Amino acid sequence: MSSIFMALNTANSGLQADQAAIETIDHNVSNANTSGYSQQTAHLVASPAYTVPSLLRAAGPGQIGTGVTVQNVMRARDSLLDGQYRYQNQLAGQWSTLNTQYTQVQGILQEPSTTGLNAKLTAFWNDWQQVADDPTNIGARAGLQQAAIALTTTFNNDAQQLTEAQQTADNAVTNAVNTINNLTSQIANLNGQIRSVIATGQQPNDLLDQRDLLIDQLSNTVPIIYTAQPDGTVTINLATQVPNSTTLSIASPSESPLVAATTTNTLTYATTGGTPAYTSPTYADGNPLVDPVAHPGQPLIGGQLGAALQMRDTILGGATGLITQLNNIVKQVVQDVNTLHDSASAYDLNGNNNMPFFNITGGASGTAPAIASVTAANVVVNAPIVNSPTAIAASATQGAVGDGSVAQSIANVASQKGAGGDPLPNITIQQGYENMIAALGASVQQAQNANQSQGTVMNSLTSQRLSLSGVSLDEQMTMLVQFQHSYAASARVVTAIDSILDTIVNHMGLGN
Amino acid sequence: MRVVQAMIANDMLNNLSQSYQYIQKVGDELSSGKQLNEPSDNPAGVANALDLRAALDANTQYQSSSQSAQNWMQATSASLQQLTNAVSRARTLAVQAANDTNAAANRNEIASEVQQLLQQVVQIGNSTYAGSYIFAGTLVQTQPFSATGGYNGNTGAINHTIAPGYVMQSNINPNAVFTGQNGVYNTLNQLLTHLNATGNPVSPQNAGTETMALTGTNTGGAGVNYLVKVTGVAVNAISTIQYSNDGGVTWSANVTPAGLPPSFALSNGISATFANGAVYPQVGDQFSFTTTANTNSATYAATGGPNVGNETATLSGAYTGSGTPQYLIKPATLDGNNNVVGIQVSTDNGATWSTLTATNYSGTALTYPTATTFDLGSGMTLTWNQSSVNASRVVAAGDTLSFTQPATAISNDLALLDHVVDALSAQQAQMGAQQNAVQSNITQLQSQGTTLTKALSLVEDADVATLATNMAQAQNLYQAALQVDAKSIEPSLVDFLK
Repeated sequence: MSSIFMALNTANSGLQADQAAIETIDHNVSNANTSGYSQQTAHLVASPAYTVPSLLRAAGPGQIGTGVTVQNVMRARDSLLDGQYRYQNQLAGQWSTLNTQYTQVQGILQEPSTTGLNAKLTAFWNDWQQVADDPTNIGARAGLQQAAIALTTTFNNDAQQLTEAQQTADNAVTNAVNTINNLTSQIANLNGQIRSVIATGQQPNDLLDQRDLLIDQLSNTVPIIYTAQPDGTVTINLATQVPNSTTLSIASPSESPLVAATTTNTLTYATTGGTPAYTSPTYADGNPLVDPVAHPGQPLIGGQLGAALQMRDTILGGATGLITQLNNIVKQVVQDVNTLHDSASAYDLNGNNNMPFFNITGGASGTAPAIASVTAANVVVNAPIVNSPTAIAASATQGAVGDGSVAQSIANVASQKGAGGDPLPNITIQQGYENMIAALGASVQQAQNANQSQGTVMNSLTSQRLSLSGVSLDEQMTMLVQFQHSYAASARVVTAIDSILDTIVNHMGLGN
Repeated sequence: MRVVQAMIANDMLNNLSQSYQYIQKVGDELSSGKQLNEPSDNPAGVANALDLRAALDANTQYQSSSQSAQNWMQATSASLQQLTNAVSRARTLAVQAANDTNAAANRNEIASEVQQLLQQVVQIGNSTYAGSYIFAGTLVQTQPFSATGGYNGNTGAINHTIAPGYVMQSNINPNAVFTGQNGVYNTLNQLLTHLNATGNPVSPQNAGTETMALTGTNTGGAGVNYLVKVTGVAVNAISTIQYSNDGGVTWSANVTPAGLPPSFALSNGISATFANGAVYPQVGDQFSFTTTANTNSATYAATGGPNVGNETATLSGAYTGSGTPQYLIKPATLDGNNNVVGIQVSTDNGATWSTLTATNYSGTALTYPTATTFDLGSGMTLTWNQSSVNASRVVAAGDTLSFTQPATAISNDLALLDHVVDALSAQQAQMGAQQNAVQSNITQLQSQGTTLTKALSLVEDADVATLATNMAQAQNLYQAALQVDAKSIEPSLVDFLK
């Protein structure tokens, strides 16, 4: 036989549960725009039933419910979606960084325009032809002199700006390393808090959301492989893209993870040496980020960090980088022009021969610079020619000032293809430059397209996540109304029981 | 799919951002007028555009080079025309001089005009274009011709590359017309020398009224021009003639007739027989004929000594030496019969002499008169002809003969002047042909330039009509999106709950 007071408790459990649900809804609505927040749901379950004892049999007539209880408050989250999101996010970080830096690099070269290197080169060759047409015309010679200076200045500026772009990429490397360290230390901290909450049997929804948000941010900076541990912590390893596949591989299996429970493997950086010196990120023990045994010859690929390294070391620097490509064009120009100009049978207006046309900064004016030492950054027009356009050698015979055959030969360099061992083998200088610009344009276009499509992928994944985890105000309001009514109903039940008890206590019995 | 407010906001922002980026791109293309603003806009197109720009600039340069070549050649052509005029005038003057009846005065005028022409030739040779001497080869800043015709230039070519691999020589090789033995200056100078020389050509007095017949078989070469003139008349019959086969520079000794009607044995087996017309022959009458088979002989009259005009020597053989040395020859030894059996020869104007003995003299006195022959070397044989007319005119030591190999005269100058005019015409024709070629090259370059500009425009330029349409469309869409989004983001259930 159950007590009437039990009904009062049952109604009370309803009030409590509804209140908890309403508080959860309140929390959801408050965090509707909090990034990384997952909507939470209070899971209500019927509390254990009370078996009514029977006079006839032990089993009784049946069980009577004792109301409702909040079993737990869970966040709506799909870890599979998180995995996809984070894999795509490192690609998004990679392409977004590449796109930004490519746009800068592309702007440096100013093509196609009337101010870029192409126009300067064309003007240079054409002015040689003009001198060949009229070798005694000082105006034509001065025109060539100025065109040559404009050409070398453009080479110098382009080289300087490409180096600056390389330094920008280097700064991005440093920033990425700092970001990684910052994020990993926060994640390790959260790991500790989460572990202690879970140990008490609670579900630390908001801490988990915070940690997921940090892992999202980390995955944008660098590719990661992460593993959830039974104690609620997460272990994060630095990863790299496996070339020509869509999988990630742990960058350095012998290193301890970036985050393991509450400890971090803090990244640091060494300098690469050389001028200018660049940042070479390493683990705390000084080992490179990518283990050369596990990934022979592989750089770190993926994320903002991978992109910055790629931009700095492969796209701008390195044996096939833009700076080398530009240097090769300069070397070819200097080699071809100096070979013809710095010759015993190339005479200027004053009858002098053996004078190099191009030199390098600080080079002796009478000696042609070694081609290996010529770069876009240091190429200059030789001092005697800067001082006087009469020092331009156009004639093949001493004193034969009307002879423009040397100038014509140099003008013809424009249509000549480099020899096998030349800096630009088997193509003309013009073709070499076109190839460079076209290849750069194609790379930039690829980066733009990849960045755009990666943006679409990220949008789609974000939508999928929001679809599951996002807070719908309509939904929350509906539920609020629902629980509000439920609460009112429970309250009404209490009133009814109160009335029953009033009847029993005040209106039944002896007095009446 | 469950849709939450944040999704709507995200999607809306993304879509609006993309619309705005599109508007920015279209706006860029519209404001720059180019569809290629960066290599990434169209990498292949940009490479193409760079190539076309370079080709277009090179095309402009080739047009400028062609124009430069054209200007040079026009200047050269104009100068060549002036030269041709000068030489033609000289030729007219030479013809006048050759036919001059009034001798000295007119010839002096002619000589002074030729002198003027000579100066003009030097002046033309020193013409400039844009500060460069056009006939100096590549020594364009050195005055090529001195007042005496000396040449200080070289034979270098002024080349203009007027299209890829198409090199045009815009000047002429000065050797072709100016310098050298047969150049303009030398030819005119030679004419001037001949005009100033003494020994006037003799004109016929009975031109057209007497005739001459030729008999005999020519043993000499063809093409040799003979002049024959009457030098003596006795009783209305020609008693002596002289002939010349070097244009009247040297004349044979008087030839006496071998019979009647007077027949005269000329050299090389040729005889001339004269027939009188209505008018009797006069001394000074002159005839001209050209042989039909090879001969190389000339007879020279004495130019000094007591017997001037009375003795001659004949030169034969082919000259194999170099240059045109002047030979002075004088008798050195006579035999008992006054035949010249030894001579002395000088080729340095009498400074040194060498002694020669007649090849047909063996020490025994020859019968008078006997022609004695001397080997002068260089393939030349000299035959000393003793006068048979008057025994008193014997050869005496001290008589001197002079000749120059080869001899030249005004009529020869005419041929040389013709040669020069031909050479000038050839050069002018070549210049004309080259100018036409350059002009057609310029036309071709211009048309290529137009094609290149079109191609570049196709690759590079924006299609403004399409872009403007796209822009309007994009703006409409953007505004519509803003309005719709503004309405869709606003309401939620909260607005309707009381």
